[in-house]
Amino acid sequence: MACLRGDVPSWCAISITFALAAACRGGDGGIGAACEDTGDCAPELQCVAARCVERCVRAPDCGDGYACDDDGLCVRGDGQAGDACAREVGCAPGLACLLDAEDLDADGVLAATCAPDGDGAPAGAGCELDSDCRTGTCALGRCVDLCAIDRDCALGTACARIPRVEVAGAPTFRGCLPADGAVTWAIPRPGPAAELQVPVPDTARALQLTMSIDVPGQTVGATRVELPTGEVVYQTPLTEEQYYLNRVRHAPAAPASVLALPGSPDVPLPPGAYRVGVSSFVLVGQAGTATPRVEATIKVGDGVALDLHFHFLDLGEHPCRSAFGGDTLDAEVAGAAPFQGFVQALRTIFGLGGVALRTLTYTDLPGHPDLDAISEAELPALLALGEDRDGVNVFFVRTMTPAGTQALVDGTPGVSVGGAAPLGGVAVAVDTLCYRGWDRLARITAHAIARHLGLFRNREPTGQGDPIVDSDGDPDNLMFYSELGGTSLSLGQRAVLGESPVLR
Amino acid sequence: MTPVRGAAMALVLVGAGLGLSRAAEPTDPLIAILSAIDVAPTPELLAAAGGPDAATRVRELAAATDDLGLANDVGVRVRALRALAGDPSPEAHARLLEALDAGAGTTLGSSVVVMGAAAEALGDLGDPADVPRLAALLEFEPSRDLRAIAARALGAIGSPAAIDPLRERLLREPREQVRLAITEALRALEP
Repeated sequence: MACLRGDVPSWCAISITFALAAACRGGDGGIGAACEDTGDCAPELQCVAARCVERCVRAPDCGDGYACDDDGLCVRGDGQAGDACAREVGCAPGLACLLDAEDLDADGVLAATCAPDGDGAPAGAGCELDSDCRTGTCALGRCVDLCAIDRDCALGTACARIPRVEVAGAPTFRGCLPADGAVTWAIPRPGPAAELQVPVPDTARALQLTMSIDVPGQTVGATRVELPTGEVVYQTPLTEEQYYLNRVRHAPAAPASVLALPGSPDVPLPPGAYRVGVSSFVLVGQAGTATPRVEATIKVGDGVALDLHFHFLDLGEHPCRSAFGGDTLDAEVAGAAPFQGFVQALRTIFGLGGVALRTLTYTDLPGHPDLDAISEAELPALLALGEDRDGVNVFFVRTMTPAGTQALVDGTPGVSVGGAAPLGGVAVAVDTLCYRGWDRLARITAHAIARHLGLFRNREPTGQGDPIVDSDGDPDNLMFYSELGGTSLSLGQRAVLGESPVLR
Repeated sequence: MTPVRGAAMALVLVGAGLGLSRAAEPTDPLIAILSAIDVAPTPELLAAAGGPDAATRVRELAAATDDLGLANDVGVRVRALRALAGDPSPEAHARLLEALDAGAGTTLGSSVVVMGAAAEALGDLGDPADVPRLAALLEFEPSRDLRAIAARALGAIGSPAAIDPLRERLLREPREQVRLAITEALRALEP
């Protein structure tokens, strides 16, 4: 049968229509071409609002009220106001999937309902209250869209199970959180001593609580840590023995201290609500009057890149200057050998721990003669000169007291992320170069940085070990307390190093 | 073999390993304590590590004795000297003064570091009879670090006899690092 021009019977026209339609399945409409449905568009495209556009990868590619299905097609949400929903994209445009105020069926999972969007910020923006967010959920200090699968979330984020600590019983919901890096948020300060509930999502590798105060003469720290399982892994140590008996090692300090979990491969990090007592102290175990600032940080993903920021105080006329490769050691001289050999040695040591040095910066800090020779008491004043929170600040000073001190660390772990606590870091005494080489100074510096990142000494001078079972007390270990120790790290130590939120 | 020689033997040089030269393996507990990166060797730690002879061995390690095999290990010696601040014996005091004497006239970096450790320890011991020796270090032109340490040590001793030499040096001292240390010492000494 043939259909000729000018002679088109109705049956023939119908055949042509069907034939054209068939040809357009997996058709050839390019981006921007008019279309009636996806069949009008090239195979890698879809028809949205009568135009061929790229298929979606994640729901936000489609706009408000649309999901992205398995085929990369945007699918309009059909949930209407008052309908039950499980994810933001299940509600029609203009509606948000709002969590219930309580877990009505007591199944540990919070239900949700479609309701009109608020006028707050979009997903990912910072928040303090649910009302700060367009979709009505503020968790971990950010606006969170409810989700069922990762594809409901924007690229770079993942669908995580999150405890809702604001609701009795801390039922969970699924929401979009960053898939990599660190998430830091401030926890409201109820008073000098309080118990907090800290939500840890199922995507978290580690949790850090950074506590700080401004009142001189007082310290700040955790008083008790209870896992969601009910196990108590830390209580304020009143004796040195108790300090080492805690499954999670921590001690109050001033002006800031950091509690890190798990801190050892042998301590679990189950998702859920962690109960953490926080207090200022005037004496060991005696509550203070200062109200602590508290910031929580979870690390998600497998970041292994470490940024280091080298700061040089006035090192002119130094007795060890023959080792510098110049009259002094400053940001310019550090750009060449032998300092770059020192940097290479640091790379080698951290490479053995699975950490790659990434961005390195060099800054001169002249004009601080009061900090040329520092003791532990002056360390906070020195560290306050740092400006970088995306890595570790390393300060080179002329000498330290008492004599023979080669490095100082702000804590294990030290303050590294967030914005409320004073900046942390490490200090290195350059007079070590009068009797040791640059490679030995690199090991000393790496030891100090690793402590700042969360590794305790594998052996203390008192003979105590760290909380990591496989690190033993080998002098060949990087964390051995002596400057004459080695550079090895156990698998457990590498795992703990990888938990640091400083690594990206 | 003396106990100290035994300690020296414990500093066994080990292989180059990972491309980083490794100084020594601190198998001797006392040497290990005296090589701590950031832990001051307290008398309690030294006694626990070195047993009943700990004080004697620390005094010997604080001495620059070539035949110990430790003469080049300035790090251990510096901390041993510093640890003598917790040893009120005349022998310890003599070791500290010897360390100052041995470094006089030198500009060698390691000697300056050794002298600094001895000066700090003398300051902590707090014997007013040491004021003239420490005051002389205020004139040690090769190192502003040592002058600053001497000023702090004089302040720590607390003797009014240090006021005049500190004031006199302050008039001539060109380095702010030292001027600050002198000012702080004078603040502690002057009524």
